[in-house]
Amino acid sequence: MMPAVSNQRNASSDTLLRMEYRGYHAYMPATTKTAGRWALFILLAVIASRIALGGSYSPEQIYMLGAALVWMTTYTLSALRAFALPENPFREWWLTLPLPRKTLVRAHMLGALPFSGCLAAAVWLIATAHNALEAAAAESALYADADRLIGAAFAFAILYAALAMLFTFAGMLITVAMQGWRQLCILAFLLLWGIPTSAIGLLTEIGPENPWLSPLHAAIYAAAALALAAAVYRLCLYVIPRYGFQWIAVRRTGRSGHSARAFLGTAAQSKAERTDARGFRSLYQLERSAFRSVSGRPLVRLVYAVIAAGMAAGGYFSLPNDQWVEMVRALLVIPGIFIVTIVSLRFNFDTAKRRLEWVLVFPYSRVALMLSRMLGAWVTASIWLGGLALATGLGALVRFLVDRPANIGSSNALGGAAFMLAVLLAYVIVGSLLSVFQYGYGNMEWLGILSVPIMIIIFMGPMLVNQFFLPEDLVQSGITERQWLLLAASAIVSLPLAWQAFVFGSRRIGATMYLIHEKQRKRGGEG
Amino acid sequence: MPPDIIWHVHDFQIDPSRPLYEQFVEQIRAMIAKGQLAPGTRLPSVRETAASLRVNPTTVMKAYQELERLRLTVTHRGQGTFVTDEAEAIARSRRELARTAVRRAEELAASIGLTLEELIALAQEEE
Amino acid sequence: MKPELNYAAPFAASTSSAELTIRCRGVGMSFKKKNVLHDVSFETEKGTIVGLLGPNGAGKSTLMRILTGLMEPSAGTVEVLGGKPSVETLGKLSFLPDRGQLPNWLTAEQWLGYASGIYPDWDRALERQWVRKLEVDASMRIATLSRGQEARLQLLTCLSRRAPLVILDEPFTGVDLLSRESISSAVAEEAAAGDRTFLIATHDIREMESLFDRIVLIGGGTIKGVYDTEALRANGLSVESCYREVFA
Repeated sequence: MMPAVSNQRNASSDTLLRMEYRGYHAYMPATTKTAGRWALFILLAVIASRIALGGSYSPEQIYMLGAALVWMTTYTLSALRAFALPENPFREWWLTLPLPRKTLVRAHMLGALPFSGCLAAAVWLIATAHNALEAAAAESALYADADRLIGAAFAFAILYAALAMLFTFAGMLITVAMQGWRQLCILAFLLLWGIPTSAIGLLTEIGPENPWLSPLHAAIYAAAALALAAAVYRLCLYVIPRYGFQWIAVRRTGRSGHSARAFLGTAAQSKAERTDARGFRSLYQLERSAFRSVSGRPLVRLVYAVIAAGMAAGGYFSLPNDQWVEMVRALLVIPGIFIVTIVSLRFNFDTAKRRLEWVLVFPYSRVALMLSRMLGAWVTASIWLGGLALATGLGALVRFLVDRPANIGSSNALGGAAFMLAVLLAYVIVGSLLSVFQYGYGNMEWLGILSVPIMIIIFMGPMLVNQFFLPEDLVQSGITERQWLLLAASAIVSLPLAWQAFVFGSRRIGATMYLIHEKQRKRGGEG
Repeated sequence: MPPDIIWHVHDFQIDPSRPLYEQFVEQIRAMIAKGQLAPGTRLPSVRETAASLRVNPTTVMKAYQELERLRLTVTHRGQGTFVTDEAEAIARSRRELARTAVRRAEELAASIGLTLEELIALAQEEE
Repeated sequence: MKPELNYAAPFAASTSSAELTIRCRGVGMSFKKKNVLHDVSFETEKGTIVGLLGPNGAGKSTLMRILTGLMEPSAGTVEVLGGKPSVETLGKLSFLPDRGQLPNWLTAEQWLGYASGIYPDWDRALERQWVRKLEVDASMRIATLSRGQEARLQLLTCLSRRAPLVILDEPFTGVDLLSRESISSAVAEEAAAGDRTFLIATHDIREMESLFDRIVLIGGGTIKGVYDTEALRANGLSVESCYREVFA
């Protein structure tokens, strides 16, 4: 009797696993068409990395950068997928399957592994190709030792696999952190996201022969990651059935559940008085209201306060010798990418939540609509980042008053800071305008592929700028007039192009939205 | 001014396969004949009727026009539409009601091969 | 069913005298080599309530997108309020999207506040009237509204504008009985008040049967028939039975 039941259970969970795999089918390099896309993406990435990173980095550094990328992508994808579970139309069917919750979780996690594995493999291929090309093309001593290259390739392959597993599992844990006091853990999740982001900045700074990067260390990291992955897996299987499902089941689609509301408690917005705002200004205010509702939440304010405190401390400690300039430089990546991401996320949320249909029938040109969104995002980012900059300044001010360091305020430092600000401004404007291009493919899917290299360039922008526009030690060398001219020239050239891309994407955003809806309808459920 | 009345959907039995305005006219006429609508009662406006019965206002307007044509209602400019006070009109409506009922009974009798009188006799037969 | 009832039939009389709010001639839409719509021709007269009925996947949504100017047809001509659908038309057209959602971080009051600024033809008096009649609690957060409450708020948004053409795409999906009655009552009242034209795509035939002046039946991407409801009933057909005859 018992074996028959457990056999049945095994059969069901196998089917469930196969169903979970199937959800990724469209994205896996299984058919010639999708495999071609993967290959194209890898090729483009190799070219990009050759251009951006060729020549000055050791093979291990490249691999570590790749490791950070694997970390970030698998983690983000897994976390977003977990986030989207309550919104999944298949949700109720899934929850009422006559299988133990543990089985559901196991299948969900294992089902995601092949895709994460492919991502990790792709990144490994990119890094390895880069190194191979570097070894073949350049004369660098770093790449002379073939054994070293092979050893690194091998060690990091294991590391990538381990990281992919670890962070696919870790991403799912977010379902547990969405209710009650556990929401404080969200900080930890954000930290897990922030580490690879800053690691990217850090890795470009440290020297190529850094011992922390040797293949031996890589092997150790890999082993540690594997062990962690196994531990997190067990943790997921224990903790998600107990605490995660409650959140998944209770959360009303698009509406806040009772407990979440009680804790997150959107600050009771005062009875809005009708403003005299009309037209475009109203559109803009509507956009801003979306961001304000996020920033009004106590949890978000807490996170912000923590980050601000960190920035203040940073300001305090980096004042001597104008090290704060280097701090800003290291952090340059984040604000830029953050802003561009906000714009993309707004579109995705609004499409998924079906708010975009209302927006698209507002009696305004598509360009005006998208521009109001841009402005909303820019102003919000300015306010949020401005607050953090203020915190840093306060920290520096305190240091100035309390323990004034000998060496501050050189013109090089100030010039460097001004330059970076200008770069950031140019990048944000050009980057976010350009990123709207990706919404313009409408019924021409081949155009959608064109957006991939564009998005890669946008996201790699800060890194590229760091590489090509900024000298090694800003405080020492300062910014030359030539660099300012170069910046101005690039801005003048890229702005009209970015604007055209923006207009293009805005005009066709409706068609793209309908394509997405059609696809969702056909695919249903996961995907 | 006599108090307003509000139509309710359950005040009417509507068959969706027959012209709606005809049915409204018939049933309002029946209400008048039965005394459910007292003479001089103010009928709701076209707009109110359309809203409470969830019916196309054009239909309501046609019905009201027909009622006016049958002199069952009277419209006073600026005041509204009222059920007529004319006793003659009410008597006519009762006659019309009776005629319709009898016609239906005759049709029924014919369908089983009897005249109306035979039908009534059959009904009054003891088992 | 008598074919002369069908306005879409070739020998039917065309309504050229009345003022037309919508006029489609031979509209077609191809999407990735699939013919989503072909040879769609119909008209709506000013001040009428027109029903757009048809099974799922018949192309209703695509037609709506073409009428609102969000998509350009691959063939044929479309005239909405006397011109080709454009951003300008959107200013005179009130559209209720199918399964759309309003910004759920706002309260109803706040949304109406923004809406009054965004839509150039907003009418505060109409807004107050409909808030009252549709029984919308303005202080509630949109995220906490039930389906029926949100549907009423969306209709409220559409009716508080002075747009001469109102297009409702499936206003009743998943809406409770009382809210549905509220909505159709509002449409009836609004139709009586002014000379607004209504085009309503719905599956809820029974609720709306008595409201339609005209029905346009669309199936398989093309118009299966255009009928005057009173003419149907004069011939002993209800809207429902007409639908069954055409599609069953």
